[in-house]
Amino acid sequence: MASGDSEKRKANNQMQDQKEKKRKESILDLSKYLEKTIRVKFAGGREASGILKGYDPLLNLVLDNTIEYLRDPDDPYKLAEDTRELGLVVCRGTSVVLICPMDGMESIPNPFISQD
Amino acid sequence: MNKIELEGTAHLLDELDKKLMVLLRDGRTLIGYLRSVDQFANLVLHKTIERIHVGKEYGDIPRGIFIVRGENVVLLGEIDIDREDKLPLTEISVDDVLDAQRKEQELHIEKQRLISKALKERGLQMNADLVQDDLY
Amino acid sequence: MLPLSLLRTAQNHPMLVELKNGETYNGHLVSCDNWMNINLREVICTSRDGDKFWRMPECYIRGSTIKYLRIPDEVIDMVKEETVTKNKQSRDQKGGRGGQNQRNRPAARGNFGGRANKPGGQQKLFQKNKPTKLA
Repeated sequence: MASGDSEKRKANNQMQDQKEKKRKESILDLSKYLEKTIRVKFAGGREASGILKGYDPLLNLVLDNTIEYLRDPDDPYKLAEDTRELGLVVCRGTSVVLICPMDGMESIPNPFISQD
Repeated sequence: MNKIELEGTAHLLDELDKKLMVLLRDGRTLIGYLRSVDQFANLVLHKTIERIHVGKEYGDIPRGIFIVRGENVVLLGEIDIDREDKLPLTEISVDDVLDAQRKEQELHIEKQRLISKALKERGLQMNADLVQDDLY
Repeated sequence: MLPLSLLRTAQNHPMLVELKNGETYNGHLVSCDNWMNINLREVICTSRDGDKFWRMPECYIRGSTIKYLRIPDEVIDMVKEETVTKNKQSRDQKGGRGGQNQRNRPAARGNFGGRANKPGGQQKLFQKNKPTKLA
């Protein structure tokens, strides 16, 4: 009786461990972007793109050949056409807002307008 | 036990399934039925409309279901169903209210521009755009 | 049904996400976690003023930067069905213990018929409708 109970408890614990693991695992697998160019947006409005060289679970990133997209001086959330080169950089994970692959990212005309 | 755990949100739980008005930090007003909350005061609003007020007129845009992150909420309150038809305001069409709102915002932006220009001339700088976004 | 459970249920559904900075992202939810971090696919990003648009095959968004998410109407019915089947299961297993299921509302709250109609379909529902849009 008692041993059966403890086994049950053990199985239960294992299940909880697995659940915990699943929960702690990041939903973002950055390895697929290694050596590829990604676009990163930061808290405060800065944007950059570069080749992903490395990362950690806290979303700290190492980017190479990095370009920063400069912004309208009057509006920190509006991109200007201008860019500047930053080279090899470390991005602080806590300030990363968005990550997307550069490959397939394109500026498009208003896709909603036809339905207006 | 439950009571202690949920102390912070206890009052929100009282509002479940009631029709609420929610004001967001960006100044927008949502009206919908509160279906769920959690310990962060994240909200689920159902059958939501966005209500745009300009002066004594307003317009409603149907928006459906929202999951609002709690930290973006300024205030919320129950709508008195019996009295909501007797608002001292007039409802106008969505197009009209959007038009009116655009005019209001253009005026506001122009005013901010003048203020910030005047400040700059006096050697001060205020980033109008960062301030403007965070109304509260 | 917690807000994040609803979000989990909304996986594979289209949604609109607005960030605190005013940008909006229209796409299908691929995955989300307990911090509300999300992965979207087939994304259209709209600038804050609604004047610039980008297409992205996929993107990852940090949960703490989200203002709100708008999800399709049918998802809330799905989450109700889920809680009902879960309730049934736990009742069958545990002989009807109350616990945290007490607050689950009955599935029979069926009359959501008066739901906002969406003439242009999903995309229309989620389109940016900002008055600041300047020609």
